[in-house]
Amino acid sequence: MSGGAWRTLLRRWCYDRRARALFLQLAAAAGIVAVAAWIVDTTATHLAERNMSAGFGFLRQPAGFVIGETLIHFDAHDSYLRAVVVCGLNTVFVSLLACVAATLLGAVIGLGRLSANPVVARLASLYVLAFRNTPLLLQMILWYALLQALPPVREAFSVAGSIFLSQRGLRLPALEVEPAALLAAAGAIVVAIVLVSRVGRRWRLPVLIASLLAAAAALSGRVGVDIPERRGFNFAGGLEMTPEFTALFAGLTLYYAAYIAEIVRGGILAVPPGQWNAARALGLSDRHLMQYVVVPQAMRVITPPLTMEYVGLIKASSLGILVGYPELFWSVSVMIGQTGHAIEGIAILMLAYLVPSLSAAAAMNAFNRRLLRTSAA
Amino acid sequence: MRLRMAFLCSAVALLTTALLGEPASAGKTLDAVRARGTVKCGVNIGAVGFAAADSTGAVKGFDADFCRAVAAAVFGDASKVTFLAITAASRFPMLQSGEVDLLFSQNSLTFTRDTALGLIAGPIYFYDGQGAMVSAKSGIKSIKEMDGASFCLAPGGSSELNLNDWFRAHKMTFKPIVIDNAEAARRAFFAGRCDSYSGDQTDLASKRALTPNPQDYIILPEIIAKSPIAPLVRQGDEQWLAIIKWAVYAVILAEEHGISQATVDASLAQSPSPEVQRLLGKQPELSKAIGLRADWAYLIIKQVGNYGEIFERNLGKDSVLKLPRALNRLWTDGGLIYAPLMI
Repeated sequence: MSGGAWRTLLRRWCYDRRARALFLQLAAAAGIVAVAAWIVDTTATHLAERNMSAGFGFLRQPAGFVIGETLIHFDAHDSYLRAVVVCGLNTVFVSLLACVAATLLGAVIGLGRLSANPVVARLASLYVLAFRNTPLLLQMILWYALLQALPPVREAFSVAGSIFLSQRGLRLPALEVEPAALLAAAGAIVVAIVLVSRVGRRWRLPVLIASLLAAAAALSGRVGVDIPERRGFNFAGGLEMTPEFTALFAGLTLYYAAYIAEIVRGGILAVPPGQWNAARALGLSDRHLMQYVVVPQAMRVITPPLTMEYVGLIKASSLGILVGYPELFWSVSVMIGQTGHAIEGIAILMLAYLVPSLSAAAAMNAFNRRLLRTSAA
Repeated sequence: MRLRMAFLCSAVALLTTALLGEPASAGKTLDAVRARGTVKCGVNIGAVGFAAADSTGAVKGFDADFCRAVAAAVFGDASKVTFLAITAASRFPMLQSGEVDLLFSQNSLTFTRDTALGLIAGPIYFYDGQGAMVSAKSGIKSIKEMDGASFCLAPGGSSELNLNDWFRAHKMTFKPIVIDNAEAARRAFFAGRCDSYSGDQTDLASKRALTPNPQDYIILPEIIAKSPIAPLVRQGDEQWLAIIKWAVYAVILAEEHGISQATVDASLAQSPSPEVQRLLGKQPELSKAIGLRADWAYLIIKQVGNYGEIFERNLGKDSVLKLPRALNRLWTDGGLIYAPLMI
């Protein structure tokens, strides 16, 4: 290509908006990559100069510590990586439960604030006032201290000799099922649901009964009830809810419920009064009024700020470290204390909190888009 | 929250210095400390007997006094020290990033801390041991009876590990309740949440001393792990390391030779012992090699005291803790406290 042709091409690109935009984007991306590379390179060089080892290799070393409560098995032989994953699961577990509970409680309190009954409305606004205006950490420490005011193990409250409440936590009887039997029973129920929707009305009942019998047969003799009993220093067996978990869960739930209550109230108030009047004029019952007119319109207003609260809740679960619940932040903190790999630890934390937070945001955004589509239709 | 902020801040500081800072090299730390006019010493604020604020707000304690000894050696003025509160997670990043010049913060010395973190330890200046405290009512006499028991712990990096090692070695299990808030962990144990509280024995003694009914709790006799407590500095500045080492040795030598805060002037004037004369600065050329004034050790002893005085004042019979010297007696009395020669 001759010099003249190059010049024309360049000139054409200069005046083409898309080409210009593309060039700028590429330049910006290259800049960011260069800065990132510089950060990584300088950090590595300086760490080496300071005789500090860098890298994520230490994650394969055995952790050496024990984790108080876990969803999957963890032993001190296991690696730091597994410790972080196990505690990450704890974070997900407590966050999910608290999100569900805070939403339910928040909806009830939000509706309560709109109630025509002045006592209910006042109580609900008092709740919001108290829980929104005190620090979450303070509330959690208060719950934890209150849980320790329960009686000691030897004098535990007991219901029917199978439920125990003491300062070591709550113990409930647990159902014990072999995983294979549970799988078979679940399979029988899925088959039943599919069949019931396919077969004619006449066959529904017999199919239902047959599948329930099949499920019962799969489970028979393989289900036990594990009743907690006093053994040694504490109760053994059953399902355990520790004070650490309870303080974190209650703290997150009660605090975020207050915010969610206000979001719910705002969402309902955002539905124009004309809509209520119109629905009443059509003769809709109160339930149908809520179900078909108010809630669908309120949801459009509620969903985006609700997402923010969920994301906030996930991040706030890191306060669990201060009431002794082994969550993600706790595990990384212990790991840094033992190995001294602070930069790597913080990087893991940032990434780990980014993933659930971003996926919660993505899920809620998708839900919001669907709401917008259906309400537009 | 405050804790997490401190943690995050030191991580950010570490990242920034990792990017822009200069690595430590000989003489740099002393020059920086002199230019600043104060020694920045990382201590475990709140550990009664080691570093805790008194009613006037002054930081008192065994660790705090060793920080003062370093300030006395560098500036001739034991008050030229700034105490920075550390946490278990933030202490090493704080030192690595240069936020503090050294740590006298009840660190157990381990292989990793002495090698892999870019840090290096000074001499062991206190011999502690990890043990366990239980309530007297429980009737427990030994940790060997505690299979399946729950232990409250404040995270210290090595205490969870030691407890786990001990229980594994004895084919027993335990349930840890690790609370990253020393106050909450303490309260949880005294409220009855755990069967036992495990930590360094001096730490247990200080926690017990501060409860309304100390006689209701007993510290079990077993030591499940050694806790050799040593100061830490950054690798690469041998001069600064030497200053820290010899500030510790000077107070030990002073006790060996019977020199106390009250008698140091008399010793300087009259002592016939050549080693005492060398220690107190009668051979100025000795001190040149370490970059300090000739009377650095004299000033430490004059302003802070000897090892025994520092111990008794903060941990021993003149303190609330009333701890016995135990392993921290001089080697001449059957203890482990021993210093090299001042030649």
